Amino acid sequence: MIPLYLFHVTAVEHSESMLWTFLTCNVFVVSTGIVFIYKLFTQKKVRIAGIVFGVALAINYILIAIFGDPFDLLG
Amino acid sequence: MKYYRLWVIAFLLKFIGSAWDASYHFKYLFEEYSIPHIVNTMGFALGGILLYKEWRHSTYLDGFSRNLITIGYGLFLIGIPLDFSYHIAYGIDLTTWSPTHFIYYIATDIMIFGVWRGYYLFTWYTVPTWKSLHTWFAMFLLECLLFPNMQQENGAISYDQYIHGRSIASKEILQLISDPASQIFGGIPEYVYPIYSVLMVGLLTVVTVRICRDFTIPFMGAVLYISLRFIGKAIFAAVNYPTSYVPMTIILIPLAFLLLKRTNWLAGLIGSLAYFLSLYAIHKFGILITPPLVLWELVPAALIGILVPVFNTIIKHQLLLKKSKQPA
Repeated sequence: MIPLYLFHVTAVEHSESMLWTFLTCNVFVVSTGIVFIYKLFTQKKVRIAGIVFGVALAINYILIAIFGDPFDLLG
Repeated sequence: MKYYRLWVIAFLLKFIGSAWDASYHFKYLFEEYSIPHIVNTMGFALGGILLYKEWRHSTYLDGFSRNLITIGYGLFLIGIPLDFSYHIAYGIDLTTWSPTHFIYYIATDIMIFGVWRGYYLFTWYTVPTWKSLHTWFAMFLLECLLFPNMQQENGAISYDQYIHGRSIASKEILQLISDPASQIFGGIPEYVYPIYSVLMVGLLTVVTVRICRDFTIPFMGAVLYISLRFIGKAIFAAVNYPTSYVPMTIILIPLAFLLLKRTNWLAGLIGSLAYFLSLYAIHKFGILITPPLVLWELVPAALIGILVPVFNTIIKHQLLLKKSKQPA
């Protein structure tokens, strides 16, 4: 059990390589997401930022559906 | 107006799905088809269709409100893979208070705020009253802000059942419990519950009054929220699902502002004191099963109750100063 309040979870075994694959994808999603959100907030043109963000999301979601479960995509 | 009523249905589906999900995980660990998640996703999808319509042809929303809602959707979609990675690293989290779950709450808050802003501007020619959709949007925002507390409110009853040997949780959940007093309450300190409640309800009340210039909207929003929570509790009890304590005393916070007709420190103090002391009385005299509470928590709760309207006044003052510096 991780002794931090906000990280109160059930400890499980996991594959380090799978974790790092997903974390790499997450970095891509978060970076493109920040750009997309910034452009939306400042009311600039968002077409390209939106497409890049959509591609990043799609890659990550496909990996989740393959290595996890399609129901994990429901949040 | 039908457009905004559809948004109310979308958020209502999200409300039902999330409340169901919170209750579900006090009984079961995993679900085969995630029915609560499907209900939640139906609300998300309906909102997505409404948002897509606005991107195609801007009709009911101004550009910035539409962008705010899109930011909420984008953030929610970012939250899903981050939550998945979090589960790979640490396993499933039995708490509403996990960092990745907060991405969902913040994203949904932004969505609701964006729709509410759009509705406010769309109905600019009318004075906001509690009989309008403002009450619904205030209620949804209140529900979303208070959602993490569901851990304590469900946990209180589940913990009581557990220590009295009457737990209705499944075997796989019970096998995971090694430290019930901490795990069932999501692993956060008990003082968080009253302080967080005062902060969120106070903040929503003050901001709503400031924008809508109406004291009844946050009050009626809280009445609606509590009523829906009671309906939910009755349904969950009928189907032998885990039920939760309904935080009915939060109503005293917007009521204090309504009665004093002021958003000042005194209304904040009276509201937070009334909220905490009534909750404490319910807890102390065993009238209902509430989340755990200790009397000293009254001090920080009252302090937060005072600070929220005080900060609101300071921010208003600064904005006025900035405005006066602008050339005529």
